Amino acid sequence: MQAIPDRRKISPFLVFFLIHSIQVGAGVLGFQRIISMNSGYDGWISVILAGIVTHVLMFIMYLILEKSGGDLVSAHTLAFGKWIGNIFNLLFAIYFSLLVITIMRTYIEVLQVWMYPRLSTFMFALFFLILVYYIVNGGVRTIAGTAFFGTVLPSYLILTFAFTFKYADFRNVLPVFDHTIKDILISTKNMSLTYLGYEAILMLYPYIKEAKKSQKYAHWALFTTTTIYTLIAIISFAFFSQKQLEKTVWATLSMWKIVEMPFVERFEYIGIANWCLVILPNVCIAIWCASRTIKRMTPLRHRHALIIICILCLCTLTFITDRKQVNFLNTISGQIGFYFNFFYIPALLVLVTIMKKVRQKQ
Amino acid sequence: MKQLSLIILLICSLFLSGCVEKEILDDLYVETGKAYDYVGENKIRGTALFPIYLSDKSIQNGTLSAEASSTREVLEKLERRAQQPLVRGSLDVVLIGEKLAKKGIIDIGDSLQRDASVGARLYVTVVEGEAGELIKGNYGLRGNGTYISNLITHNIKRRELPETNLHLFLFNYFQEGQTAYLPILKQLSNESIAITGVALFDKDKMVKKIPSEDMFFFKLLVDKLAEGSHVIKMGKKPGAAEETVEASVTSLISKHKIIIKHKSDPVEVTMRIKVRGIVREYTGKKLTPDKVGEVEKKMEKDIEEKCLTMLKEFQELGIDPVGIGQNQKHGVRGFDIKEWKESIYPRTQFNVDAKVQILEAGTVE
Repeated sequence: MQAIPDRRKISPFLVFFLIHSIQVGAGVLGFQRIISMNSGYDGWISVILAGIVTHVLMFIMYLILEKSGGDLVSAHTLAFGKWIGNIFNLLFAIYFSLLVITIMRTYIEVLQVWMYPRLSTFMFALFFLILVYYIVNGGVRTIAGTAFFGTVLPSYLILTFAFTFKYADFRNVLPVFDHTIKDILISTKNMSLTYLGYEAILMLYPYIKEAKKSQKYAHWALFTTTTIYTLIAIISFAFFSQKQLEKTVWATLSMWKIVEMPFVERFEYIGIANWCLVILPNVCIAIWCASRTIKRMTPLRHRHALIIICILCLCTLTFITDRKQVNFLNTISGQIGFYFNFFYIPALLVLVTIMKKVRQKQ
Repeated sequence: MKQLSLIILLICSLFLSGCVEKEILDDLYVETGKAYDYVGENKIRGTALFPIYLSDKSIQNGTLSAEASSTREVLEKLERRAQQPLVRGSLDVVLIGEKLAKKGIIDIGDSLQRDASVGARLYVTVVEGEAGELIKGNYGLRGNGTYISNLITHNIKRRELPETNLHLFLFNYFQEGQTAYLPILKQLSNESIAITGVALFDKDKMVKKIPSEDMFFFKLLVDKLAEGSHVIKMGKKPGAAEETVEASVTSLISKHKIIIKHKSDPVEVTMRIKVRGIVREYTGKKLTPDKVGEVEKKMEKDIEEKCLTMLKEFQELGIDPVGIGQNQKHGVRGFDIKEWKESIYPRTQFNVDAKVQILEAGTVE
């Protein structure tokens, strides 16, 4: 791998915004239903558990990166050699493209259900991806800037949840631990989709100045995400009765329905429009990871890889038309992400450690 | 390259703005109210209310009604007769005829909840008689929808009406160990409406009505914080046999606390109600500190008696607007709603413990 020049690298603290903004995406709008299906009002425990697991995985990822001295592609080459490694690289690129599709399709669905029923998926995705192309083309520094604004600007939204307190009954979460450990663990697994995306660090690592220092910020990002998710989960549990929550697909958006301000009758429209800012860095980072992987494994230039992935994502997006398919898409990317993070990454660490020792002996 | 991207971006924003269908306010009928009535087996009549803004800045109430089997179908039929498209985005009130309320209203609740354009703060009310007739009246100057919604809002904020809206109705309906309630309206004349009580529901069917004079006590039971006023009859006036001494007390702050002995058999429930209020009117001779104490005592007794009868009535009907089942659930692991409904709730013992504190008695003594 060529060394990355310093002027294209980012400061370690920006990792906080990169990791945080790729985690918070379309999933936040409706994860409450998914966790309460199995563990009911105890779902917030699953949110915290899943959050703790992300810390462990982040730790493992940093270990892999330090050992392989580059990014995921170098780790793959170290562990499997060039050819088999490339197969895994391709899978990784597909996985990130799948994330792009999931995020965008879920957001477009929200737009279609809540705001514009006749919005064309293709048109919106086309213009959105042109914008994404423009940003990603600017390199990691531009993406980090987008991530910064995508985190800071919409952060005021968290205050709007205070409007629900008037109707909230926080005793709903009592009694704590009313479900079996098995139920809570199933919810933890289902919750992992909402947390996904932090594995982007595997590709971003070489672009960070004094990369080792950034680990602290990555963990802070995970901690912030966990806190926000836990807060939203508890507020929604207090606001909705359980059966109501099971019927509500986008609980976070439904909560905005109660917000009352003198100058705005219905807040969810502002919330959804603002969410575009949250989605943008999300898509940018994921698509950058996918195209960067392709660039590293083939002789293609980064820009060309990016165009190919944009076009492929756009084509796939238009084929997904109804709620059932969107749901399926979410489930499948959640599943793949779960196995990728929870099984593949620890296995990779073991392999990298072994192979490094073997190579050193040679 | 940079310039090219910039140009592309500008073109994007130019075209994107024309991407979806425009909706111009002047070319729409914005529904502010909706009424549903029972007509026959599987048939309801829906009446839509929308303001028509006239050139002299006054507002005319436009209504359209149609009969169909479901609320969506009503909407479709109405659309066919409306000159401009009907939109539900700023729906303020939904009125439901008493007959329909007794048959079940969750279909209406579901259709409102399902529609993303309908807010959660809208008021759902039951109407004595025909809801369609009530909505066709002419109230106030700002249109019927605003009139009814203002009427309910200020009664919730300052008077005896318990807190209510679509979200709370659905919350109570779906919550285990709690049943829903809605306010009742009645048309007095073509120009006026009154709130005449609270309708209590079993699941989604109206089973009981709380008359307006008992609403103060009902609000004390169901709302975390309640205001409102109550007139206390203090007994005969000395000397004049016909007239009675009355004191009108306005509650400023009141709190309730439900204390449940979860494990005891039968389950014991104590409602602790605290009221702090002021005397607004006194028809006796002189309101001495002793008399104030008497008013406090009498009011405590009133609250305890009325609330206890109410709780027992709810128990007999098998409804639970106060949410006692829900409170029991918070303290018990593995709460079984069926067991609670069938064997525990009917045997529950109630106690009401009221405490009234009169802070002021006005500007005269």
